[in-house]
Order: sequence, then C-alpha cells, then structure tokens
Amino acid sequence: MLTNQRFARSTALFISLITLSFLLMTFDVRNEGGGVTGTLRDGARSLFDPVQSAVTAVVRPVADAVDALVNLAGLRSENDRLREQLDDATRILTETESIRAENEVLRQLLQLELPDELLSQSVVARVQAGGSSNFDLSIVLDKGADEGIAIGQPVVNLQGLVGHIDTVTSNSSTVKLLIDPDHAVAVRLTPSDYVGTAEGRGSSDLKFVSSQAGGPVAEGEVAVTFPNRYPAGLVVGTVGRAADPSAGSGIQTTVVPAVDFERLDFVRVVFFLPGSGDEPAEAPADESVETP
Amino acid sequence: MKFRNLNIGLVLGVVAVVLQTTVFDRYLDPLGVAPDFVLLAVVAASYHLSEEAAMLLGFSAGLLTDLLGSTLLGLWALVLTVAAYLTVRVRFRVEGNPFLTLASVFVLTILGELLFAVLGTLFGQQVFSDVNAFKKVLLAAVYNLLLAVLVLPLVGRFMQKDPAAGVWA
Repeated sequence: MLTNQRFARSTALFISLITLSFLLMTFDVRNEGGGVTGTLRDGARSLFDPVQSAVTAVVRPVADAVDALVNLAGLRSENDRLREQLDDATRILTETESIRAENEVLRQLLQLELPDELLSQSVVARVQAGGSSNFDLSIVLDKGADEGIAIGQPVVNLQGLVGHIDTVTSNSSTVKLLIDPDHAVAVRLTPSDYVGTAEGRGSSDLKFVSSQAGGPVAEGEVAVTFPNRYPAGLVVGTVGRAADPSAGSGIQTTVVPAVDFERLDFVRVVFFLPGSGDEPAEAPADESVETP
Repeated sequence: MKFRNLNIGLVLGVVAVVLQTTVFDRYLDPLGVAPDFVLLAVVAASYHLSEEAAMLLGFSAGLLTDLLGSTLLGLWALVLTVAAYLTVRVRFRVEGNPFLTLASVFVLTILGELLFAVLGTLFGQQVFSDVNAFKKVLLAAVYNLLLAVLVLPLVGRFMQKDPAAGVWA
C-alpha cells in the first residue's frame, strides 16, 4: 500500500516537473529570452559570475602550464615543419610576382585591424566561462553593461570575428559564437567580390551560400563582413574549397573560420550596433544579399 | 540526516554546473567535445537518492544549467529530470554489477543528449544543424563512461544508503 502511494506521489512529481519544464520553455520561446525568464537568467548569472571567475582564475594557470608541457614535447618537430613550410612559401613567393602581390593583399586582410573610430569605441574583455553543454556554442565574458556592452555588438579578436553579444548583465555578457547554427553573417569574398551568407554549423566550418555569384569561387578566398549586423571588413575566414555556380542555385561552399574557437581568451567588444555607422540603407537579408 | 543526501546532491549539482561551464567546456574537451558532467553528476547522485529527491535534483541542476547557458530555459531541466527518473528505475537492475552500472551511465548519457537534441529542435533550437551533433552525443557518452569510473565511487562515499531516512534521503 505504502509502495503504491509512494509510486503515485513520485509519478505526480515527475509529471509536475515535466509540465513545469514545458511551461518554462514555452515562456522562454514566447518572450524571446526576455521578460521573466530573462530576469531569472540575469539574476542567476549575477550570482554565479564571481564563482565562475574565481574557478577560472584558479584553473587557467594550471591549464596553461599543462598546455605548455604538451606543446614543449612537439616543439622540435613543429619547428622543423614550420621551417619547411616557410622555405616553400618563400620559394613560391619569389617565383611568381603576381602570387606575391595577391598574397600581400590577403595577408593585409588577415591582419586587418579595426578602424580607429571603432577601436576607440570598444572594450577588451576576457572569457570567464564557456557554454553549458556541447550544443551551447557561447562564451561568457567578464564585462557587461557597466562597461557599455549591449546586445548585438560584434566581438572580435586578433584573428577575426568571434560572434556577437547575445545577453548582458551588469558585469558579464554572453557571446553567441559565429559557429552557432542559429548564427548567420553577410560576407563578401575577396578577391571575387561575391556577397553571400556564412552560416554556423556547430563546431565545424561555416556554410557559405550565395545565390548571386555568377562565377567560380577559389579556395583560400578571404571572407570579410558585409555591412549589415556587423561593420564592414572584419575577417570571418577563408573559403575551404573551390566551387562553381550550379544552375539556378548560385554557389555553396565552406568557409574555414579565422578564429580558433577552442582557444579564446581575450576578445574585443566593439560598440557598434546594427543601424549605426556604415550600415547600408537596405541591409541584405540572409538569402537575398546582392552583389555590389 | 533526513535531507543529508539531497543536500549533498544539490551541492554536487551546483559544483557540476560550475565545473561544466568553466573547466570542461573550456579546457577538458578532447576532440572538441566535453563530457556532460552535469548529467553524470545527476545520474551518480540518483543511484543514492529516493525517486522524488533524484527528480528534484535533476530538475534543479538542469534549471541552473539553462540559466547559466544560452539554451532554452527548462530544456536541460526536463532532460535531467527524465535522466534522474530513469536512473532510479534502472538502478535496482544494475546494482552490484559494475559493468552494468557503467553501461547504464553510457546509455543514459546518450538518451539524455538525444532527448535534448530532439526537444531543442522541436522548440526551435538548431541542434541538428550542428554537423557534429552525433559525434558530440557519442563522445560525451564515452567521456562520461570513463569519468564514471572515478565519479560513481566518489559520490557513493559521500552519499550512503539509509533506509531509515525516508523518501528524502
């Protein structure tokens, strides 16, 4: 009898918790992350920010030390390999002047620095936590609204575009990474000048789609942001494989992100919001970007 | 003594969520995939809790995961509640057999991750757009299996079975 009562009680609790979970999910979808659920998130994050910062501060030096040890073992072979690559690159550069000129352009694009006006309106932040699971492609920064950070602002590092600010509390913020499947960015390829969208596909290369491209795209072309959600010219990555336009469907290929998302530490949040600065009058939609 | 195990379970849940977001996701993710440490902690604790306490722990740990992450609020709460419920249901069949216990951790991790992916997709999250979705599910289960060898005995040391403690043990 007692067992039956206990079973009924636990079943009732199970159903209640499942129902509550479904209600929370529905509220969150309806409020688009804002409202009561947004307030709950802000509260929890404010509470756990110091804990996460403290744990990261303890773990980071240990992880760095382990990293250094692991790297030391392979340093000699890595050095030899890089020396060979450098020799090859030098030989190729001296052989063909045109390739060298093109390489210089690509190098400049890859080492692209932010324009002065954007650099002065930005803040450097440090990653204090990662996503909550393998499917949560986000990072938490140690700076928030108190430093001027707002939802939608682009986040970059020395390698290129990292993502954009998704949520903000007073002293922390969450960045939705470029590789998140919910993320798409309008890009322009250089030198072919085709415009399309680079869509996240999880921890893998981005998918580049352009319905406007009329010619082939070469492997290694550099993808930079097309002014829309982000300021123009931020490096997104390089084309992973050459592609030819297929009849009626434009071009589809991959873009290898410039940023190493596994090793993010310091990033720069740019105080640029969609609708400010150099955004075009008619921003291109994801699939309807136009070739300039 | 009455709430001892539940309290330990809740502390374990909070520690697991903090470790998941700060250590596992950032530094201990071989091949780009981290173990699902929160799920492992919930399963490990559920082997020593009453049905109700296990489900409350699963829900609380899941809710905290949702709050600190950028996934839909309630998604991990539901998944971990189900994982805790299933753990309590299977533990009598696997008790005393270490291989079956480890196998149950492996299967529960896969089921939990798949449930997350399916429900997430139903609620508009692009989980299956991740080209590595199945690799993530499988590797997370393998890592949890390896970690379970350490975590299960450790949790068992802290949380002892006490029939006199009632349903909230």
